[in-house]
Amino acid sequence: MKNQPEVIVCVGTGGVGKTTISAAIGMAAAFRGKKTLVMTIDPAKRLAQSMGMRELKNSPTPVPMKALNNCAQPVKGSLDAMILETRTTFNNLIKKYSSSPEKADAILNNSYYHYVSGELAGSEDYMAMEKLYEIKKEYDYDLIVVDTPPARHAINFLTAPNRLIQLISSGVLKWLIRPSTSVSMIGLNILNRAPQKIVKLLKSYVGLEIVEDLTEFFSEFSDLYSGFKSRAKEVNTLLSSAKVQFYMVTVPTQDAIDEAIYFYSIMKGYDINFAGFIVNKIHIAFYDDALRTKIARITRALDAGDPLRTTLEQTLTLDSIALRDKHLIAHLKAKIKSQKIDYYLPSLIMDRELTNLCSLAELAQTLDGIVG
Amino acid sequence: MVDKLSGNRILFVTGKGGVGKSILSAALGIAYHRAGHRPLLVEFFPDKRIEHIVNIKAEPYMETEIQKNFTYINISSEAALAEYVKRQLILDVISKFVLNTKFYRHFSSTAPGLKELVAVGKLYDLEKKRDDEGRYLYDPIIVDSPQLGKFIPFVKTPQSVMNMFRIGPVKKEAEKVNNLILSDKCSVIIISTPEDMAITEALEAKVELSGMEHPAIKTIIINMAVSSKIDTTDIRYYEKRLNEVLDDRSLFPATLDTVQKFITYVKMEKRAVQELNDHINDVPVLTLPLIPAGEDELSIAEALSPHLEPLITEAR
Repeated sequence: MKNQPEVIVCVGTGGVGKTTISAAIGMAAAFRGKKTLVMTIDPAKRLAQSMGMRELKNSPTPVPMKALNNCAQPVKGSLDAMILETRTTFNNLIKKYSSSPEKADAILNNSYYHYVSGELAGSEDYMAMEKLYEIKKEYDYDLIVVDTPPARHAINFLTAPNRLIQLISSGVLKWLIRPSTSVSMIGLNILNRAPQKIVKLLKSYVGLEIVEDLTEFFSEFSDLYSGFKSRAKEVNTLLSSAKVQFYMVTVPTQDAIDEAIYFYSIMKGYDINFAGFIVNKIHIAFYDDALRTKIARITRALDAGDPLRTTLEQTLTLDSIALRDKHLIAHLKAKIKSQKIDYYLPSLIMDRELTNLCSLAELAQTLDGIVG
Repeated sequence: MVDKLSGNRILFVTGKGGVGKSILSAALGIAYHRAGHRPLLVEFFPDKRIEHIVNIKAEPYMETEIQKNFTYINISSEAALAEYVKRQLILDVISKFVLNTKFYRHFSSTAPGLKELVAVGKLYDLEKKRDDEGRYLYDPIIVDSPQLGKFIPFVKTPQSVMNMFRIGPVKKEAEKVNNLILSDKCSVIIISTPEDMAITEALEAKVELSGMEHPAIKTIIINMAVSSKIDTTDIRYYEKRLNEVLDDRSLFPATLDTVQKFITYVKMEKRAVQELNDHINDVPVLTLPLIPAGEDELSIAEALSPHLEPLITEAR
């Protein structure tokens, strides 16, 4: 039997149903008797509503499981959910690592900080991991399922946090804060003049104030480096521990499968436990080969405009897509030959809708192997 | 000046992830090209989806012909920023010097929204291009844009830059781009699938996008629909008809079962589409069929393009 995970991280590109799958994994664990938390980012409205996540943000809230009374097995464990708020998490970190409330305020009010904490690519990913670390330390969940921010490329999740740290600790700081001090003492003043000129040039071509905002931000932030750095190290240690398993959620389309193969090739360079692929949104197959041929012939014999013909044509179209799904999944499996990788092919009634907790429970059953 | 073809110079194509944005952008390009326009397909580096779909090899940041009068460009923000710096620091010698410094490299990755701004700003230059006779060189410009959720920050890039850079040349640049995006030259096409969640997201986006600080929505497209041609969802009708047409009785149970499952699917889809129609009365909704598999992506785009004709204006 494989290791019982304490954390499951779902990665994947946008639109593959990551949030739904994360919630379903959480529910599967709750069925198994585990005390479970699902951490999600920007869930679809209806899913959030059905999970009772409308109001409380950034802290765990129980999912109203009573709604399952008539449609699912009894829930032996428990399920909490929370919506991650990047900015709040970031603000809390600043407060935590600042040497004084005044210093914290200086950063929180800096306009460049607003950009870094809200819009800068990578902030969300980094804060998701930060929050995971915090929750893992403060609560005693048996399992935490983490839904990661939507990205064009799944690998962003692994690279983005480091990019943010690099930015924060980058050389920009040195260039900006000390354009005219100390270095000249060791006779490097001539060399040091070049960056000064560039800073001057930049001030004139980008505008003075932003350069000042940047300068202020980085100099205030220097105070927090050591705190941030050691924290980042601890977060990384957690992510590479055996208790944390990564799954990639994908869908059976050509570009998503290509992306999955690409992700796998890059991911191997990272120190994480990659446990498998979850191929979501598979189309239902209607016919076996023999029946398909016969139905196609019967369909062609019907008059154009006959409602039965239209309907049968559409079933054949959907069926052709189900066949393509199968080929794409086979292609993925052929490309990734590893005993350690599991494949899950969850499917909902017609793979289309998720409207309430009951359909989530149905989906959870297909993902039971992940938590068991 | 009133442009009677307003909203059709730059088309931003967006939608929830996985709804077929890139294929539809390509299909739109094909449809416009066929109608005698000179479309330009735009995507942003490092994406190469469209390049892949239309099956060409393009130099990054270079306008590349797919066919005569049908062009593609992949805009990289790095290249756009380098271009911008060169333009600002007129002297090439200085710009080379600046571009090669460590400071510039750090600054360009740190400067808030600057890279994003100049990437969007490239559209401004492309829109300005004219041929020898003074006609638009590219018309329309079809932009395969970030997915919903990232789309609003994307179109608001110039505005957030304006908030950061309160004075100076970058602010001017941002204003220039912002004025273009908010002008009646630009519009948004939202793509959805006939699924509950995608439609909810499209509706939310519509609410968010209405208002003066966004470009107008031209149309909402429901892609991959199977239900639009299905008039009856009465299973008894199908039972009766299958009884009539199936000579081989052994096929009856499996076929009826299939039709039954399919009808469930159709009903769900119709409900989702109805939900959209109930909430939308001011924007046209266009429904596109699901294209059978077995084709490559270019063939799918080609098969979709005739269905996009209602969106195509006369070539100018």
